[in-house]
Amino acid sequence: MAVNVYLWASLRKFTNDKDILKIEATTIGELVSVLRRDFPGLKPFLDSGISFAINGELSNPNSNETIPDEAEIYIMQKLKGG
Amino acid sequence: MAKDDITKSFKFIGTRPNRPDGFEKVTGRAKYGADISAVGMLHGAVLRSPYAHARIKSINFEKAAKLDGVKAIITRDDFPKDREGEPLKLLENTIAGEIAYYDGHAIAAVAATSVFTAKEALKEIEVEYEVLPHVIDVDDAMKPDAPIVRENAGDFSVPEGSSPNVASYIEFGRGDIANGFDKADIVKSGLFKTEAAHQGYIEPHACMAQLDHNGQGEMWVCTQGHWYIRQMCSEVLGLEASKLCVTPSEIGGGFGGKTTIFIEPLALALSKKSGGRPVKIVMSRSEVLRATGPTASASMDVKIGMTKDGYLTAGCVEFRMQGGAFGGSPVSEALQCAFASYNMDAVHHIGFDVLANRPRAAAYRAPGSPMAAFAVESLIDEMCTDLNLDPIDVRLKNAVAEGSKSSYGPKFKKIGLIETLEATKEHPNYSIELGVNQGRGVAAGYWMNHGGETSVSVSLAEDGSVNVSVGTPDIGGSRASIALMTAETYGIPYDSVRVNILETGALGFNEPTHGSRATLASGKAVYEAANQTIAEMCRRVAKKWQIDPDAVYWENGYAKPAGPNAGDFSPISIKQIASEMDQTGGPIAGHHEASIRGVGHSFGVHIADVEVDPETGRVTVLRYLVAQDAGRAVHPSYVEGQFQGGAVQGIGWALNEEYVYGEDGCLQNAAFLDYRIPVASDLPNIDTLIVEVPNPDHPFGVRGVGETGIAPPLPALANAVAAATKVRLRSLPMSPTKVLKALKTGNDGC
Repeated sequence: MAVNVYLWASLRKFTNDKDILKIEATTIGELVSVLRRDFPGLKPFLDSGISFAINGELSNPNSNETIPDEAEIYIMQKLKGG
Repeated sequence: MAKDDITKSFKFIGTRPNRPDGFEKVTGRAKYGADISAVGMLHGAVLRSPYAHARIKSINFEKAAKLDGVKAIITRDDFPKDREGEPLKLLENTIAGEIAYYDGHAIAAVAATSVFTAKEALKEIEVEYEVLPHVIDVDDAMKPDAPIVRENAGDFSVPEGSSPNVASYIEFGRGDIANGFDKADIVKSGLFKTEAAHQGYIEPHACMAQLDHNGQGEMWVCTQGHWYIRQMCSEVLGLEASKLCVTPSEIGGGFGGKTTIFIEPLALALSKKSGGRPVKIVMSRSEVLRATGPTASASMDVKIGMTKDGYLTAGCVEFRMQGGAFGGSPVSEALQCAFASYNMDAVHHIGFDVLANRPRAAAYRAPGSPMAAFAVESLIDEMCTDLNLDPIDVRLKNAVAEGSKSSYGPKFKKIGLIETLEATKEHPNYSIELGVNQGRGVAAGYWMNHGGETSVSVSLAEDGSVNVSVGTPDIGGSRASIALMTAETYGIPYDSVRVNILETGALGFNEPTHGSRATLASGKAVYEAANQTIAEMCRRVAKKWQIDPDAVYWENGYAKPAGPNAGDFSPISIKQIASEMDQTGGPIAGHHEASIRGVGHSFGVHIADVEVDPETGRVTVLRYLVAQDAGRAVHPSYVEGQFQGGAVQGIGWALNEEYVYGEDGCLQNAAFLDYRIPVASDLPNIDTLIVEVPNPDHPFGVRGVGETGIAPPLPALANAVAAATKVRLRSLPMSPTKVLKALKTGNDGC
């Protein structure tokens, strides 16, 4: 199971200049673990409070959530609402 | 639920019953933050820095401590010294350590037997300061020779060589920007600026706290999110979260400004130091303006390409936003909102969160979106004028729809921008003839909305009425909307539902009422919890009828046999089932906990008509229309109220409101006489147009309506003023002085 992870360009310096990553993962938890392992520079970003858009649906991280194969995943900063 | 089901007619959804909290509020019985008191209660007061940036060399409170009635005095020494990361920033913002970072920064606090004594004691505290250089303006803060607000404040994202006052950096985009601009017939760029504005909630911050020596405590507080208060206070003070019970009061406005802590840890620390006596702190308006969290000021460069027939080909933005001394501007959200309304193949966004000697920015209604809308929608309007194109037609040509890839990446599901633009164009306000010195402005706005962590419970009372327990404080009508959704789910009268907002010990973690989420998220969770109880009632009735539970269904407050094959039984009402609960298995209750999914994006379009007095520069708003996709308006009066409230706050931000700092870096307008929010006599009736494109991922089609309405007013009014005067103002507020100067010089200097 592979998913496509889209990172904002300002994070490319931590991912060998890539802003689209192909990651083998079946859950959000696995995905985050792989990102931490393969791109340790992302740790402060991942720890800073993030949210996900999985195939267009915005949500808070749910580590047990299954991700559809070939899903399009955007990782963004956690929203501040008013 | 299938999409067709949520477009059906409802029995209760869409009606306008009396608000459940109305009687208590108009009779003064409702308890707000300052209304709480307890036996043995002390009153707290806070000593604040008179300097924008100063080293605290010493604090001597010997004289203050000797005053009769003074029971406790605290400084930073009374707080843990091992905090780091965000808890340290929260603590630093709550009470200064070695450095006071802004005018109004808390230095010490006193608890005494009366407010008078506490304030007298503040006068007796001697603080020796060493004044340091300060910086207030965001662009000044990024200059090479700017005073450094806090050393090493930049996080992992900040590029090498950036100003030391840059706290974080964001960049994203897609497409071939150069090619996009090559395709354009017209390319325009501009610098736009907005000043910091305060949420202007009528009720100042207030709390009463009690904390024992063993770390067990209680707090009553005016807040949008009492679990956030518990979490932040626990982290700042080193408490075990479950030992602190936080109860929300009624709330007189928040708009994002009451999603964080200011006085709450001080009240807890004072209580502990005074031997566990309750301590109440109520902020003055001046303290609210100086020392809580307004939104950021912004300096924004925008460049857009457009074909001669109105198609957008490319867009670039660079936003610089100051979020106070500890960072926290909504630059990320602003960038996400900048081009979100439009299909564009090439977009590029850069954002800087910049430190300045100002209070730490907090969220303010659609944080970041109004500034972004002001910059982008103003420039698009300039291009429409240059090309003689209708501003709504241009927006229709470029509007995002279901399946469009948003400017920040993810694809949109079902959204209603096109329907909103079409409804706006058809509205009578768009064709009313204008007179001399009058102009019309149009602008669109976007907010993504939010689901968030949510926990609710629903229980059946013994007479068949229903108690709903939620953790999202009711700021804008969520008790009414949740009661309507509950009534719809059960098929029982609206008046048979009571919605309670519970304290932190009674439910799982709830995010605040923020992100336009209370009706969406708590409503969705309550729907799930109510259906648990309906399933249980059907099971009990099936047992009574001795048939399979699947052969019983629920309709309009009754359990009924599913068909002739299920048997010939008379329907049983919720009242009867409830009255027999003690004999059929005990209480019936349901609960639901989740990070709520199914957020529905929200778009709005506003039309402003203004008249500009060429002699005085005064802008009078003649008429104003808010059109917005609500998804489903559960209680239309509240939805209209949200639309109107957002518009009014945006009008204030556009025309009057700004933080004014002196050369000394101190706030000069820390009172409502000088910080002028609009009052009723400043405004026309705000017309509203509710567009309903149901959110397919919510059981009742709800999107969330609270925030989008504040984004379009800033550019709509700037566009109207430009239409009326042929002079473009690119900085806010458009005060009479600034308008008059622009009329004389042809621009506002931005």
